[in-house]
Amino acid sequence: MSGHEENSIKEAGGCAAGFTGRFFNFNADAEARLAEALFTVGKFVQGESGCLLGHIKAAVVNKDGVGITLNLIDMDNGVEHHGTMPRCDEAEFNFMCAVLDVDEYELTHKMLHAIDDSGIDYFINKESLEHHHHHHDHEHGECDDPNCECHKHEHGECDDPECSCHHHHHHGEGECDDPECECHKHDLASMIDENGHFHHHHHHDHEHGECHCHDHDHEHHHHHEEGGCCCGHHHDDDEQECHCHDEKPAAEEKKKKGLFGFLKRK
Amino acid sequence: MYIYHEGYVQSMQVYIIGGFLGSGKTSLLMRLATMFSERKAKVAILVNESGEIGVDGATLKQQGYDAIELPSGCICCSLSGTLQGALKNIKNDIDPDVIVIEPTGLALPHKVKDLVRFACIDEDKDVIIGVCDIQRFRDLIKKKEEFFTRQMQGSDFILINKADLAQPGEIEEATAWLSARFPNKPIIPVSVKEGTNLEKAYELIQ
Repeated sequence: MSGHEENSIKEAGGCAAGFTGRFFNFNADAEARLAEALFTVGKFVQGESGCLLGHIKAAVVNKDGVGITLNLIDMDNGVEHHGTMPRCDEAEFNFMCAVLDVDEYELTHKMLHAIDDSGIDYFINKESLEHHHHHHDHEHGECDDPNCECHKHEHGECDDPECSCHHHHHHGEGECDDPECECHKHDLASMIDENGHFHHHHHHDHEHGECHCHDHDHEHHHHHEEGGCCCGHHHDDDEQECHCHDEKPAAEEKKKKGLFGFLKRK
Repeated sequence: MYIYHEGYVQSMQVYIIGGFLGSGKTSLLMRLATMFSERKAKVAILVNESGEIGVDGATLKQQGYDAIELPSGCICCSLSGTLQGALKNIKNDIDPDVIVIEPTGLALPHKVKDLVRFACIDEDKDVIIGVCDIQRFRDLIKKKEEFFTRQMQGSDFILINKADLAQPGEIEEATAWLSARFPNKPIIPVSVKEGTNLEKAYELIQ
């Protein structure tokens, strides 16, 4: 998106993040766990921003269209529960946040962790984590914005000094000198496996040969220096003593959980 | 104002519910929609959420309201064209008596009003209802005073919501702050949750 497109959100310093999926065996206990997940995200936002200005919401709907909404607006009041639904084998869910002064990537990461750690049997729709760009609308002939500037780039008309659309090109050409560059942050959608589970450790990507961390050495150091890396081994890594693969038991456990959930659903 | 005559609505009216994230816009929207429906008005609801994933649409559907969702952006800026297209479709396909629009909590309602006007679907009778959350009023003023002021400045009147949760003196403090900046706007403390003062607010928007 260009800077022009999201000016009121930027003006407010806000960000929105979310994803969809399915819960299995959803009952009162799962509802309580989901509320706890919302609260965990709320605590994160409060820690980052100083206070929770915004909302954290989740809707769960069964196949009959009956559902509940959980809403966290105020940490003192806790999570509001709206509606009731009977226990069901499977239900669709939407989980979203719109808050101020928090990094969107970190927020989404935290939300995924919260669901993963909740103990609810879940499946996350990978596609809901993939960003849909405006040009899709153009491709489908859906764009009717008279002020649209999407094609300015193609015509060489873009004069926005803050435009970052082609930032990755600069990287490819070795021109990036942005110390806050986050272009190579791990794609969260790629951390969702075939069972819809969130795999949050970098070593999973390494195991699957998907990680490109070391393609650009400078990039990796940036993350480590800025504390962006969540593996906690950056000091060792800098000294070529990386222990990323030491956490095999956790990975095995995760796989078991994924298989168990899969079999249970079957 | 829409014309309510002998039990029937005779002219279309657009209401825009503005206010910060979590101020109670969706709850107010549902209350208003019910009030309009009880008076035999055909209501169309349009909800916008800034993220790609929306929850309000699901909530409204669960509660029995048929809402049109505009996710993945803000109708006051990035989805301006989409809003105008949606309004024209609503006018042609549903031809409601009342359209209630809920922008995101990060939108500037006066911009939405301009876009509604440009869509030429009514006779410039749009009303912006500003919603102020009394519980987080101090935090909001402390952190985002300018943005909050811009959100409220286009409102035709302001509802101070969650009055039931206010601490002693908070309503008076917020009213004084808002009155000082917007001396000509009516300001009403309400509790959408408990229904307090909602009839009074409804009368005001007529």
